Amino acid sequence: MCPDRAPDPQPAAIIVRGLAKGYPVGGGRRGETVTAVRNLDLVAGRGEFVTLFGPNGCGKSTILKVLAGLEPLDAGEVLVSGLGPGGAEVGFVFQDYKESLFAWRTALDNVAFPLEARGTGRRESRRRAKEFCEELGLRLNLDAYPYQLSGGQQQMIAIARALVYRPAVLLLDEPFSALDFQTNALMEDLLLGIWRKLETTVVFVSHEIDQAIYLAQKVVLLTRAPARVARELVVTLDGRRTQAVKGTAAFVALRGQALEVFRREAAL
Amino acid sequence: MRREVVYGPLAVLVAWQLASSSGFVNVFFVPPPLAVARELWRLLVTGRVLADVWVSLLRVLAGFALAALAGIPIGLAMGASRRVCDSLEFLVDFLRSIPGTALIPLFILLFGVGDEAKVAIGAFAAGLVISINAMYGVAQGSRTRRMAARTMRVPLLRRFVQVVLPDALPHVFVGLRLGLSTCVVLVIVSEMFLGSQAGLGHRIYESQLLYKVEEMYSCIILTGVFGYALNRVAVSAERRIVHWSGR
Repeated sequence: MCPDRAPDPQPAAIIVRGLAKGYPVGGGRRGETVTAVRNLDLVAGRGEFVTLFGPNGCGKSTILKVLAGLEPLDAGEVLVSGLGPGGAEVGFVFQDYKESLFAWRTALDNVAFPLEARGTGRRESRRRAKEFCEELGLRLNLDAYPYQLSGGQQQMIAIARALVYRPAVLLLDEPFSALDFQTNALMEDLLLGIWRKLETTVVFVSHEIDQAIYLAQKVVLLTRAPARVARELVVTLDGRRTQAVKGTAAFVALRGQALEVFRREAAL
Repeated sequence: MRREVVYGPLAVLVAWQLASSSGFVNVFFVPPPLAVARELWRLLVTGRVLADVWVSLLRVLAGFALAALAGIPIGLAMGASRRVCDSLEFLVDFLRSIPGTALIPLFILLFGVGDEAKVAIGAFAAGLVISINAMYGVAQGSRTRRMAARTMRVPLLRRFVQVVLPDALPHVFVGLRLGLSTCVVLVIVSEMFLGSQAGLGHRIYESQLLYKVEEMYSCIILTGVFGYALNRVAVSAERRIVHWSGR
């Protein structure tokens, strides 16, 4: 007999409670570990855009990898779409697009790859991949190989590849940090457009405070390693965001708050 | 192609001509370039030497094919599995440290003095080079790409075939190119010292024994062309097939 349980009408997409994660050091021979994340709590509502901001090496990437099921966790609870780590489908975008795209496949075949891997035929996968790229409004030569595309275009392909199988959650690990200033702005707006269109839950790791605020509905400020949540900052910027918002008083005020927390929590 | 490419060879030809016409060296041992060129032309039009080129080519290709067939799977397995690597790495490294030519006597005992021995020596030495490079290809493949494939829920076998293998391909091709050169060296050398009736190595050695000096020079040059051409073929195949390598 199963106990009756009313289904949660709006279950959070991501729930993290008391997460701890360490890595072995010195080859792991003596069982020594360094703690990357300690007692971290995090919630992302369905369709929410959350950015993680914290000092370098504080364990931001580790959190994403645990969420994606790429790394086991030591303690705590992680639920993604109601399933344990590695249980739910997620899309993952890595910082290094050059190392993450399949260099031997064209842009289109990169996007089609996850569909092929799910057993869809090659032609059908390519057709759907092409349709999806059009839906996302990607304007680039899909028949080009990654090395023939600019950095921004390559990362666009990586984003499309991570979303083409419609995961409920998209995780991005400093995806634009290798790109120049202008391309960053372009990619930010492209990603926001995609997020609005697909209503995907997004967790975005950034080391740029302006970017973290601009993109997010909620900025999670992390402490230096081992990472905990120092503070959550709800971003309420009116209307549709454009890059111009970065100069407004409201934005600058948020930035000031974030940096104050950062100074306190990141100082060594 | 830039004009400069002819400078080096031209300088060598001039030095060669000067050496033999100045009487500084014995003209019998260093005939002038033109005499060698005439002899080379004669060998080519009479077609005598083409049979030797053909025989050497078949031996090299046979040895290379065997080396690739054995070396690639072994190397891939070593790269993919820690246990396979631990069991074989020392062995491969050790055998690779023995000059292939030092194994000629052993191969004579095992395979006699026919084509089999020459092909086997080439295959053996090339196979080692090919397997080591295939191993590095798998071992040094991008971790990020593998992780990306995991986040896409690509099943293990498919991940190996469609992500790890293509990622290793540039290294595999480096191994194939080096292996082909190794195979050329060992086939030519074994043709010299391993009772041959034909082949470029055989022709070089025989013309030296018979003091047909101009023919010897011609065959040495032809062997250079032979090795160079094979390498060019390998390089252009590599560029076309693993076009993304290093870009």
